[in-house]
Amino acid sequence: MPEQSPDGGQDVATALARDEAASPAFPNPAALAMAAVEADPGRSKKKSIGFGGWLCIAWLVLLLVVAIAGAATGQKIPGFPDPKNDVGNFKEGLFSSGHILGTDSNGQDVASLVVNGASASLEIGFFSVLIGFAVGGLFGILAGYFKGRIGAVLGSTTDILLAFPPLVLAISIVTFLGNSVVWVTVALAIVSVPVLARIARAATLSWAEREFVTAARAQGAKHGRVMLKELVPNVLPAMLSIALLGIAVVIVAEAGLAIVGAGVNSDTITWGSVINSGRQDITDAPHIVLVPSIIIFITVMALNYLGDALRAKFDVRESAL
Amino acid sequence: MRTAFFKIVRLVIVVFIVTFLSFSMLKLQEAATGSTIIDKVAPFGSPAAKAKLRQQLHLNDPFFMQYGRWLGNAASGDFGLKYTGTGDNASIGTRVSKIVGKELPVSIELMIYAQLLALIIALPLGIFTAYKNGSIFDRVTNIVMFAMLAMPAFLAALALQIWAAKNPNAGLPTQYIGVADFPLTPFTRENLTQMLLPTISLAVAQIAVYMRLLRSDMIATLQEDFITTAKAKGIPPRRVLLRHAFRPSSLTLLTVAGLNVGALIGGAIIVEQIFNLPGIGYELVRSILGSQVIETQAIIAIIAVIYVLVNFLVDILYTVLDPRIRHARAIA
Amino acid sequence: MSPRRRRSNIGTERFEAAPLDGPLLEVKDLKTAFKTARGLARAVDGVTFSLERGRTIGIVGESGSGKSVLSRSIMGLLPRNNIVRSGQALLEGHDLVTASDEQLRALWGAQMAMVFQDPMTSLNPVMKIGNQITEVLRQHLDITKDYSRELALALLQSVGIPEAERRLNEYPHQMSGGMRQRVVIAIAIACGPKLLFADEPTTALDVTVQAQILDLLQEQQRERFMAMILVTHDLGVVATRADDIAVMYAGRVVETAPTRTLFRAMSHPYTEALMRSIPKLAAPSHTRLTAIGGRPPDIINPPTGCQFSPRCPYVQDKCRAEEPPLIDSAEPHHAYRCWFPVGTPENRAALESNQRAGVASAVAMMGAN
Ligand SMILES: Nc1ncnc2c1ncn2[C@@H]1O[C@H](COP(=O)(O)OP(=O)(O)O)[C@@H](O)[C@H]1O
Ligand code: SF4
Ligand SMILES: [Mg+2]
Repeated sequence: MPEQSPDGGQDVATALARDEAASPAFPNPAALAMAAVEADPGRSKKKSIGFGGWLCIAWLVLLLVVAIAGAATGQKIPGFPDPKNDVGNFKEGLFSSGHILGTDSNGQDVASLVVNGASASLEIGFFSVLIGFAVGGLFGILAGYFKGRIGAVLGSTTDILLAFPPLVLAISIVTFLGNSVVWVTVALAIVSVPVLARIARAATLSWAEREFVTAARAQGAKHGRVMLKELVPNVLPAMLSIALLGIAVVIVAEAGLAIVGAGVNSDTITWGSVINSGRQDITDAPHIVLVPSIIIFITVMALNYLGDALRAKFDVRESAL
Repeated sequence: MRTAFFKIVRLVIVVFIVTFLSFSMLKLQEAATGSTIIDKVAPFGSPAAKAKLRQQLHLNDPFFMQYGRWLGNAASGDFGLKYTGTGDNASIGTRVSKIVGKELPVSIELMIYAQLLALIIALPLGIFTAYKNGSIFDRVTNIVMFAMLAMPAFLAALALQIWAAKNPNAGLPTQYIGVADFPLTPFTRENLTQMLLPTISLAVAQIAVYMRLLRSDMIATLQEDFITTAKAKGIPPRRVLLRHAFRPSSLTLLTVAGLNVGALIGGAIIVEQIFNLPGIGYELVRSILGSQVIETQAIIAIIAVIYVLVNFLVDILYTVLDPRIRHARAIA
Repeated sequence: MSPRRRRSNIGTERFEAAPLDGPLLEVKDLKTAFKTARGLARAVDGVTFSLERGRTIGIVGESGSGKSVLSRSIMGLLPRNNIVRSGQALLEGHDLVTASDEQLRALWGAQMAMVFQDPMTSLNPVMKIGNQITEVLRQHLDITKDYSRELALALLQSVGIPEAERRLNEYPHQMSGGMRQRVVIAIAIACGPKLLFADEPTTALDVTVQAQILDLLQEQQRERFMAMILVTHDLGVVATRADDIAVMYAGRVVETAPTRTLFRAMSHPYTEALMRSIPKLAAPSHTRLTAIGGRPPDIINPPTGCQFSPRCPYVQDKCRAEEPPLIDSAEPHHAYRCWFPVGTPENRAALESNQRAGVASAVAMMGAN
């Protein structure tokens, strides 16, 4: 039998703290100054996102503007050739006249395809993570807050959803239910629910025991109120930083779906659809797949960067995830 | 022991639910789209052929009985047929188990290669950069890893494919070249030639994931008191790093490696598709595009169960690696 | 890389031959500072003492006074970056401050070893106890695996661990704190070091085993003729166990004397405060030091003059203006840093004037005397 040892170290620490608080006989200006430094919020924590961070934001804002334009015009952004109907020479290379990013095997302008594809790709990325965020967040907070039977049931549900490899689950949903933008979004949302639920649950578990939450409960606050007022504001930053990464993952997943032939139907241009259609020309016109791929790469990098920055700022520990 | 028992019970329950979900998806589709399994598998069959197929698939039984039979057959290795006839010969086909038996090893080989490659590169890098935390080498590595993290498998695969096409001298095929008995014995020259580019594509992002994780865990472990103890014993740095710091730091890595199998499977499907590698992911896509719903269902169930099993094994391995958990469980 | 070294590293053979006379350890004006965002943190600020073979020096001071940094700085265990070190720490005449990592590694575990404060964290949680002991033996002694196991077993027995054979195959978490600290001691004494650092070896332990561990240390020290640096925040701990005592405050030695002298004729007000905080009861204790009001000074922006002046009941204007040097007392080997040493008429006058002026720390002394 291993002997149980009382944690002496802890005793000492708490005792020290208690004694220190109880003996203010020698007020010490230096100590006060130290305390003031410590109390100054974010003095050492406040990390500015720096030049790289602004660059990322600029890139995302640019994409957002383009995406909104694409959505508003039905993927016919003025100033760019109509990606479907204005057909030029086949497989023009980069920087050819009139087609700065060349054309694909149908003679469609690659720049126009990528710019117009932004709307559907980002739409899918944003809305699926939004749904995943709402549903997963709700699941996670409930599971973390009610630790009893509800927590167990919700926990098991997420575990089971997690038992399907995400891409396989998404492929199944799309193939079995349909390949419209809506279904693809739903499929990728379902895939992101368990991930976000786990984060929310972990964050809730760590906050639910804090004094202000137990105090609120002890004062007879309603569960809903406690969750909304005390937990949501604290759990949100952790989820937000993960959500940024989530959007990145979903954008990649959309392209993956397209490549395996389970992507959005051919009526809608997405980055994935452009990549997939360019694959057949990869040896003689590699720019068709490279341009949208690199755009995805940069976008993912920007989202990762901001996600990391956010996590550092709110001190979200990866191990807790 | 009790926890071990519960773990196994849980595993069994999850396997049941996962297979049940895979099975019901087909039914869900029938309900959602109105087109039956028969319509998909044998669109041109005569009414008689369709009726025969219906009989063969026991589609007239109650739902749960169908599931029970399907599960029973699956447990004995029979996943039904991939139907090759679409007309009057609707009910003939190839055994899905035979196809899977040939193609699953390819995928598993690919994933194992990719994990090995990722770990071979990530472990030394993670350990070394943690040791030299803040050095120029560390910073440069971090930037490179950050970029690699954002590189999806399909981008790596496409880029490598383009590179291989431009450099035929390298002798690496841009697509899988049919050879008689694929997969070839692992680690033979021909096998490696065929698998190299797919492996690299799949490993790129994993390298970054593992390396970053190990680095941050190692940095934390190196702050621990027992590392100072080891140092104060006069143990050389290399041994301190490998023998004392690495093992406790590798636990998170292991968990993530387990969870990562999901991402790996997804990546493998895409990579197999891009390189035309005849693995199970490739077959899954073909079955989907060919409306081979029975086969699709089987493959999805197989993949999900494998995934569940891998995570179960990781959980077990975790307890082996960390004596604290091992004993906590033994006592409980 | 090179095959694992099997050659014995025992002895200072990496240095030139060691002189056998003179003290084992001589620390001369040792300074150690951390570079921090706010500036230099002078954790050890000019410490001087020497230690003869086989003797014990007690280093006493409240938490944060720089005791751990001092012992690690002497041993060379601090990381090299972000640290400024000067002065000398001579082990048998060889300077540890300027020694290379390679040279130090030959000494660590073999010539000097350390028992750390918290046995919960100072043992590798995923390595068997036996291996943690044989590791150090095999590193420094040219012996076989089997023999190192025999030695490990004997070591465990000698530090009073029952069923030592079985314990060899156990992990740290299977043992109590006291047992673990015995293991840490076994590791430290394994290769027969000449110098043993014990950094608050009982602070993290249950009160009931504290005395046992201290007794064990003392016993082993005598048996093996080791010199020991016993670090503690409890003057009571060193009272019966140290030959000499150095009292540390804000990185400096503020008073040093042979133990008897110190207890008979302490001169520094801080030592007096520490003394007051020893419980009258015989039971060993571990938290009384904070009975001294206030906190240690900020070592990055220290107060001018005497470091203790913000908390000292005898503080005068001179104290705030000018830092007292280390002054030799009439007693042999006794020195202190104070303008108004305890027990002198000047001291009494200073207290009275402060009490009249209503200085809180001085007023608090009224009931005490
Ligand atoms: N790595 C470090 N960086 C900056 N300051 C440090 C560091 N380690 C210790 N210190 C400071 O040095 C002083 C002495 O610490 P320490 O030797 O641990 O005290 P003790 O052991 O006497 O309790 C403390 O003020 C502490 O804040
Ligand atoms: S010098 Fe002055 S302030 Fe410092 S300890 Fe002595 S009396 Fe107190
Ligand atoms: Mg200390």
